[in-house]
Amino acid sequence: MAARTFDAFTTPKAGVIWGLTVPQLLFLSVATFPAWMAISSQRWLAGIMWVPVWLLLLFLTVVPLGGRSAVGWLAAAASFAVAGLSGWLAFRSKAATGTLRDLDELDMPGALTGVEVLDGPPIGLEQRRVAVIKHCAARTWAITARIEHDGIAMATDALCNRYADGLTELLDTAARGELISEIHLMVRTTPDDCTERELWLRANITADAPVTSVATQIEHLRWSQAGVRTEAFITLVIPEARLSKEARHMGGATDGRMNTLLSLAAEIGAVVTGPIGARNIEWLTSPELAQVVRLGFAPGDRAGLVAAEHDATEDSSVNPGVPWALAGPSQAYAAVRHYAHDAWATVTATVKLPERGASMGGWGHVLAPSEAVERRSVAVVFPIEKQSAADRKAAQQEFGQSLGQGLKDRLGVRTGAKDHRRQAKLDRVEVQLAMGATMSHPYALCSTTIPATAPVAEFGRRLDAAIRRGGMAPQRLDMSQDLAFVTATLPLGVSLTTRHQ
Amino acid sequence: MKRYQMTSDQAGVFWPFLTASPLPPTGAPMGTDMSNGATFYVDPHGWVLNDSIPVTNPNIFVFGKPGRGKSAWVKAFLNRMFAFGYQALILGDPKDEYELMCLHFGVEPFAIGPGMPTRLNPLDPGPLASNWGQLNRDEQERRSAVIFGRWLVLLRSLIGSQSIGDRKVAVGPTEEQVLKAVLVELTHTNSDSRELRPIVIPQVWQQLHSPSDALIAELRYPDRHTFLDDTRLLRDAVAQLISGVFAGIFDAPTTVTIDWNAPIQSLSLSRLMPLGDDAVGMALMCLNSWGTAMRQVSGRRRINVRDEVWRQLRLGTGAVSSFDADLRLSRSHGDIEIANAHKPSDYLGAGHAGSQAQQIAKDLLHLGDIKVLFGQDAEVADDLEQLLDLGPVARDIVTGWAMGGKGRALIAVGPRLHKVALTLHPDLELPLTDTNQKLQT
Repeated sequence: MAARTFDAFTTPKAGVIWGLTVPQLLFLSVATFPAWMAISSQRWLAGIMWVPVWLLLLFLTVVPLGGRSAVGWLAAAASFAVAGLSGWLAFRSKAATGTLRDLDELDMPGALTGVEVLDGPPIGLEQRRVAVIKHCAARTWAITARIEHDGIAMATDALCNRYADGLTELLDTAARGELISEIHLMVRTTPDDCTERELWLRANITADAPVTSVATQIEHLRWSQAGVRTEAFITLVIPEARLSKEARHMGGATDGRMNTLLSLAAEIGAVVTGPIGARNIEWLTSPELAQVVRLGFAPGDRAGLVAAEHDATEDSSVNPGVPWALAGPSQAYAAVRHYAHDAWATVTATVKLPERGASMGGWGHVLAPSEAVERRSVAVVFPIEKQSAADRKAAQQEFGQSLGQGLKDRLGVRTGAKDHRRQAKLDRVEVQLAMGATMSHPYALCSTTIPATAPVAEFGRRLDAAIRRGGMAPQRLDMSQDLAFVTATLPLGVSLTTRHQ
Repeated sequence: MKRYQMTSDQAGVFWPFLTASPLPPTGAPMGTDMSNGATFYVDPHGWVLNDSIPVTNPNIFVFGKPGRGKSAWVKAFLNRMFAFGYQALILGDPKDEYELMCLHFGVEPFAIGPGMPTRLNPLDPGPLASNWGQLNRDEQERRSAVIFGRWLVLLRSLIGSQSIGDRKVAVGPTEEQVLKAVLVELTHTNSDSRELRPIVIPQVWQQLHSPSDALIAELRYPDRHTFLDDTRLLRDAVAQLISGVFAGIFDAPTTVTIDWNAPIQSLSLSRLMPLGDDAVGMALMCLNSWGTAMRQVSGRRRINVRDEVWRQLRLGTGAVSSFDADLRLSRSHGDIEIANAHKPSDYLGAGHAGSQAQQIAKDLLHLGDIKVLFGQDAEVADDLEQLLDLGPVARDIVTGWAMGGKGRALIAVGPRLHKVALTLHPDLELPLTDTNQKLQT
């Protein structure tokens, strides 16, 4: 059985008529007024002269340059400038400014301002209290788990296809419950500090060990620091509007919400360890999540945290935990093309999939750091449409496509291969939806985190090159690097799209 | 930001889990895992104790064409495990490959061969027989069952490996009963509870040659004449062990005194090489039996290396059973057993397709949950797929990537596969592990 190629995806047209949004349409309509006015006053030359100006406006409004239209760029640049002048781009933590009062309160920059982390009820034999992430600004709740997976580097094509079906089942399961609005999958490859190895060596090297053997261990410890550690997370995002309804049947108020979230975690966990093929899934507690967030901002802190955890087993006076107030950066700054946080800088890009389609495994190049100091991260977000909304949108698109096709046929315009292909894809979507598939509008973010002393621009280029090697096209998220960093490297369920139902 | 519209059946394009989560950083660092860039650590005992790793025994099977880096891998593994209190016993080194390593750690390898002073008694009861008189009857019976079982397996395989024409000497239930009765009589286990007498193979022959009346009666032979007639083949096969090429090697009490404080001990078989594969194979059987007996001398964890085991396995069903028994015993004792071979089908050389020997050999491959597969030619690909159940990915890696350089190996940890390139320290390890030194000088 050959590995599957996935090519039946389209770009959702945000516009309502001819792919234009209402503001674009209004702007372009208003822009025709000077021409009409000139014509009505019989100033023919002025009317004709206005046509190229209108065409220029059309070009600037509609044609995307690096992901945004020229007007979009202008609007983004203006808002970025305003944010810069207002001091919103820079962040200093309360700990850094000496105003820290509560260690348990989150102190995060920008997009994370409205985030709270609550402890769930104790569950299971180990009585773990799973952390629940409440995002007040987006009105969502989220829970995060760490996943251990064997990957597909050694998988057969048949196994890859089974895993792909597993991912399909994950989305379908999430959609069937009509609670989960987004699923985030994140993989981070972090430089290996070998702290666990060092601690293990200290505990296991025997006193009478031969010199050559011990020397070899020490040399290998040094060599191993060129390696990486891979960690993967899944985050489920549930909008408050949906959760509150369900929570009424599960005990009401916060308890009801927690119970609902935990039942969702169990349901999704079964799919992750089943069809998805994960070796293990562990829903994170608040201290674990705090550590994951801290290491998201500062990968280099891992050695200290692991050593402290080890010391705490022998010395009760050692506190290995990361207080939430200190989990964020002490200072951060959003530049146009990267995001600087503590002693690190991150460049984030989104990707464009190839029109001819892609098979599983293209992200491997992105996850391979180009140097030992680099941390790479890939986050894939699956916003899930409700079935009713998906059907409506598919029907709209099909209708729009048919209308356009009919118009072309009447005008005698030739239908190109692209149109045929798009029509086939839309037909396929309709068939899949009729068969009960779930509609999603996924996107992916790739990021590279490097020490602030390293040349950021160079590592940004290397990230772009890695994305291209995977057969995709990079698109740097300029002027949104702060929000992009949060989505790409912190498994807190913060999405770049805020269309939560 | 670029968003896509797709139905859930297309989600696979965003599949992000590409590389395996790393194994715990315990044991010996055996190179870089090429699929995730992390250092790959091999820790057989740690893996057996860790429920999340699909390994139930610490045995390691190493396969590879000559010159692909099998020996270097094993030597590097030994050197790296010595730091954690492990000791290595090389149960037969046919090419003196471990000599340099032994000398580096201040140990002189024991040489076994015709005309050499070293004697090794494969029927040595070993430390299980120590303080025999102070053991209660139940414990004596339990231990004697273990010791007798090992002796019988050895004698059966040694006799069964000899041929009449192109047929192996058959050792059936009658012969086995005879051997058992002889061993019981020689050791006096039924009559004397004070000690388990050490015995040697010539005593077995002597007992068969001049059986006591009690033995003949116990084995229900009508008279001495019938006994001698019926056991002629058995007697002559035993005689071959003491009068043939092995005269003066395995037929006397052991003269080797192992220093269990040294990190490595090796028994060199290079002097037997001119005698042919069968001789080396039989010597390996004797060594393995003796090594199994020696197991409980040291309280430290041990790694037993069995090089070129394919020679032993070609000797017939008994030889395969003997190796099988050694591996199973190792599982109960907890030593790490490393078996080197060229290719998986070496384990099937013992018998014809579908034979008992082949069936045991197939099962035997499943006694090693850890397999290190070095580069192989394409002809071996089918063996890899069929015998080891590793699938087409393993076949492609072993016949492709692993052939691209020395030290490249596919390491199977249970069903999980890892592409690992061995890294050797140029000053500390390369001089110990380079097996091409003789070619270079």
